[in-house]
Amino acid sequence: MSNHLYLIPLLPLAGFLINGLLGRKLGDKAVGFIGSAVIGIAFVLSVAAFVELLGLPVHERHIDRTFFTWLAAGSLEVPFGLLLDPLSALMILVVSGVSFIIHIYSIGYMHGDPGYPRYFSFLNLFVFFMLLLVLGDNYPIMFIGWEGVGLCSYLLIGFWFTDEARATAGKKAFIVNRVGDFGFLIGLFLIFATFGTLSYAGVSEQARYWVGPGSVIFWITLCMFFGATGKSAQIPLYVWLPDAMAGPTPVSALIHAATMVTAGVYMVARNSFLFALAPATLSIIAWVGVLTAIFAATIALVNNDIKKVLAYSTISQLGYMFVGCGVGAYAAGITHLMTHAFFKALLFLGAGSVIHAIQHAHERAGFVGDPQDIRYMGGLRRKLPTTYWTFAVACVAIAGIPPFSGFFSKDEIIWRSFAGGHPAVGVVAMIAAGLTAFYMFRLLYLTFHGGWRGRRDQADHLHESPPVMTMPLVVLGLLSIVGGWVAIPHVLGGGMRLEHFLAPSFRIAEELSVMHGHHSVSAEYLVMILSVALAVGGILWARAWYIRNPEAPKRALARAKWLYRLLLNKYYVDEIYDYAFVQTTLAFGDGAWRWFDIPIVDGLVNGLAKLVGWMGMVIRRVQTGLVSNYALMMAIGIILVVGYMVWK
Amino acid sequence: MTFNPSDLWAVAPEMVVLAVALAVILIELLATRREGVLQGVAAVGLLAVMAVAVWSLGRPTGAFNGMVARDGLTVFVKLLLAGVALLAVLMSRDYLMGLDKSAPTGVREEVKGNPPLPPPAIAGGEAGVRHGEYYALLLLATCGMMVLASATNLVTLFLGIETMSLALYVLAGIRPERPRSGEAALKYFLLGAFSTGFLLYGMALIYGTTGGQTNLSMISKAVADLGDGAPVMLFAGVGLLMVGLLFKVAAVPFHFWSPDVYQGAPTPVTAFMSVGPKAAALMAFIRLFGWALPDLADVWGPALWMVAAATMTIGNIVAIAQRDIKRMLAYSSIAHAGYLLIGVLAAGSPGVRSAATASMLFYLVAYFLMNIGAFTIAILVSRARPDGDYQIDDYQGLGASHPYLSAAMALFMISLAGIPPTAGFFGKLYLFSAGVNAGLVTLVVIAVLNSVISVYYYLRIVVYMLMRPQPSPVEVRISPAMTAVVLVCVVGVIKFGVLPGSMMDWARSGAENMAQPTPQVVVDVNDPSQIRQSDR
Repeated sequence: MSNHLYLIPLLPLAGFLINGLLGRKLGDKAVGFIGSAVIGIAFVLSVAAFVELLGLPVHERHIDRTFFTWLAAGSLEVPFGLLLDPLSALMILVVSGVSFIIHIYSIGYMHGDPGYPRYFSFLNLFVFFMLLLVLGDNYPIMFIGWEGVGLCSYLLIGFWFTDEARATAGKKAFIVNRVGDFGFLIGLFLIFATFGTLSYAGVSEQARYWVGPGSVIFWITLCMFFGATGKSAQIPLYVWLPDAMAGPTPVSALIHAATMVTAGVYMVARNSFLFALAPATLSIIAWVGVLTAIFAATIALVNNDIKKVLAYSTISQLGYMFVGCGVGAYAAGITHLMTHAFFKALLFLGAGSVIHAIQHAHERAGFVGDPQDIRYMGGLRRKLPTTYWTFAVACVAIAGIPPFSGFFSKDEIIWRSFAGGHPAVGVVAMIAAGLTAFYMFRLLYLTFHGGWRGRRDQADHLHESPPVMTMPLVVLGLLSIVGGWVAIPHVLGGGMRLEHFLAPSFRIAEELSVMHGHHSVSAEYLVMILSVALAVGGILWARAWYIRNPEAPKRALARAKWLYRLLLNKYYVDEIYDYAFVQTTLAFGDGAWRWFDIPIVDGLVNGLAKLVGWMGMVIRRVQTGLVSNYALMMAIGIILVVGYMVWK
Repeated sequence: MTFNPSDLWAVAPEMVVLAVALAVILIELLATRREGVLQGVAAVGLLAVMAVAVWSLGRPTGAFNGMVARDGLTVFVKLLLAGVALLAVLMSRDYLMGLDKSAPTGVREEVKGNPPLPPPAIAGGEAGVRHGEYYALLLLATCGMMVLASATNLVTLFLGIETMSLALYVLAGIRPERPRSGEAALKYFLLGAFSTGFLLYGMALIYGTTGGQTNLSMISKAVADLGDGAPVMLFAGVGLLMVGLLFKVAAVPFHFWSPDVYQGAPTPVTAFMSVGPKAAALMAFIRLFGWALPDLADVWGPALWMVAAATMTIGNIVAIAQRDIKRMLAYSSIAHAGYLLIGVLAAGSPGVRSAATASMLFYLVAYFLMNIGAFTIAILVSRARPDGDYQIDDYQGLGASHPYLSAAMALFMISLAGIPPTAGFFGKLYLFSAGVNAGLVTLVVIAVLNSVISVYYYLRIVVYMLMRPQPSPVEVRISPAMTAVVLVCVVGVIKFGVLPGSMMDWARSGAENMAQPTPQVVVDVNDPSQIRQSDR
């Protein structure tokens, strides 16, 4: 398989071309089939590649294949090379697997949408870029994937572009991401300037024996991490992700929960050999990650939009992954990336199923309203049983209750922050874990328990989604339960199999790492028990407030109204950014346009254009159409040329 | 001087082209006059030429006592030339079939002076063009270009130029019912004959001053032997030879024929002429100036530098003022010739000779695809007009009624302007970086500024197509052959704009696998005993 690794990204590209060019002629059925089939085959090939990698001895699990020279200019040569190592093998499995499930789900969810072929072609294109991003063996290919997924994200957020709010959300995502990409790009320039190469192999080999100044590496890694904060929605660039929920829900599940937003985490993990040389950057990453985790969790406590809660939850969970990278536990961060892909995709698809049902009921009842507001839901447990059960499984998993998958990955990150010498980070992460349990169960209870709070005539029209949508939920539900079992820690009798599998990818970082934390079994038990206790506490708290005593939250809110309002308005960050960046930029742009562009730039450009145009009019007069004139001109030219050469 | 049968491999593509040309004429005379058959024979024949060209690839060597080269460079150029001819053949049938509809030309906007000639009476009362004759001439011109591109002797060089030119003179005037076509042919012929005179005169001077050498590497040796004592007449000869070649690539100030001829000639011929002769003549340039006369680079370099700068600047500036798309593309093609001359100049410094040649080859491939594509769409759009004219205004609002066609045209324009991700961008990138490596920084800066100017008139077409309302509805009909041509060009422009590596690798190996053969038997004209009685 590794000889034909290029097929894995190529298949989705083929799907994009077929669906994009011929989609309208093929009909919706064929489009859905082709779109899903190419991803399914890519998944099978990924499994084959994974199995092939497993069959190799551990130190040989690094297959780097160059297929052709993509471009060469001067000292810069960029081969089209793909790298299959444990990290990328796991990533392609997760990306293609989750994508396949979500493509199947989309067949049902997008049924009847006039943009059906466009939807599937964009989704295929996204998977192509995402696979390129994780498979490339050098920075330019990663960058193409990085920009490409951003483009697809923009296209899909604004998929229903006739709605201006949705189109604006797409623009916001794109622009905020561009800010981060700028940092990433500067990081890449610095890498080329410092190492003179842009391949992972070349840079890691030099980083291994790095004796140059540490400050260069600090700036490189900081710029790259800034790029990651854009793509992976961390402070300060997280603001686009909640708005990105304007896209179709399967898109939120695939791009804005399971795959694209984890690109930043992948990038940091892929460059562990550089980040290991910059402990200061690692500390910044750990702190940014944990602050994002708790910051987003507090906002999620009070939000009333089912998808927005999940969006803030995603931001918060991505924070955990960065904590893992920041404390040097790259494998733990990647493990959490994988388990999060399962349960968060499940949560989004479950939310999609709910929204689908309510929208349907709205249409039947002739009612126009927001189908995503959990204040007008409730009691859906009986109407949507499969959705309910799978959603509940995902909530338990994200809350971190053993033996569900989230427990193993999240607990490992928290424990490694303590063990790696960042106890403060660990404490904050634990508190955020408690908040996570609370807001997830608040969401679960408000949506599925209690009685229906919408209009009575709608309730009769609520139905479970078709099997093409519920089957993916069940599959993801199973994965959310068992997905963490490959990462059971030693103290619980597990083998940390995933961490051992991933270890070769982080070998150089391990060698370079200056952090060698102490390991105490009793401390690990203590951390484990504490975090589970906090999670259970959060669940019980949610149960007390939203099932037992629905009046309690109102009384509590009355007492802390300012806090509630602060959280509900998301700390006013959007307003602050709008005032500080958007308005000032607009004002600056307006001023520059009025006082600089019009008189100076336009004047110069128009003047030059006029001059050139005038010259064109004059010179073309020479083109008289008369042969004798032409011959005379030629003769003059000959006299000039030959004369110059003879009498020089 | 013995004849070596393996020498025939060096000219195998030319032989096949000739055979196909004869076959087309004979088929038309003796078997059938069905246009599709003739076109098919020509097209399949050109595919065979390409196959033979690839087959003939071998160790770089010469043939016929150093008259022509047999190496990677010639094979690359022959493939390119056969490709140009193939696409020209594919787009010709629809054009020729549609001629009956188009009325005689209207008032000329551009060309003043000569009053329009009355349509001549056509022998036999037969209107239109004989297709077989047309394809045969196209193939003969191709044969001449191939000889020119592989010539390593002044005699073969001249032979190639004249074979190519004579066929092109006739092709330019192949529409006798259209005065502008005849006018184009006459202008082309008169000025072409004029320039051939200088070319021959230059050759004679070189022959005289190098002790009777016509082989390029022998000339090179003789020039090296002369050293500082080279006579002025040698410089004059090199200058005149350069002028003759510059006429063929339509460089300023020897370009005056090209806008009139491009406009007047049948459009597929124009498309063919805008790429083929340039490619062939530039290869002759490379062999002559890059490989044979680098010692005289300080003599011909500055002159060519001025010509290159003037060519790109005047080409681009005058293109802005054009209202006719064929004339616009003519000036654009003058400008591109100016860019390509940077490659010739860069090849004059031995360190970057191969890189410069490779970048020129890549540029020619890119230019071939985007220019043929643009001309094809120009044909399609003009055929939608009742009078078959080529006004730029016809492109207004085309984006709304013909989105795919407009997208293709926009792609070609963007590529011609050199904007990524298109082949034109990488062509410029490689060419200009070769120029910088050869120390031609000022010229490259001029070229980049010129590229900026060119964006104006290329994107004007795109703006017209997408942002202007359509004055009146047009119906563009596209036949399968035309679709194929446009598709090949679109795919190529995107392919080499996204993944230029493979083509650049081929170009590089073609440029490195190059032969400059010397004759095995040298005739010393100063030694009477070596000249047979009959030659005196």
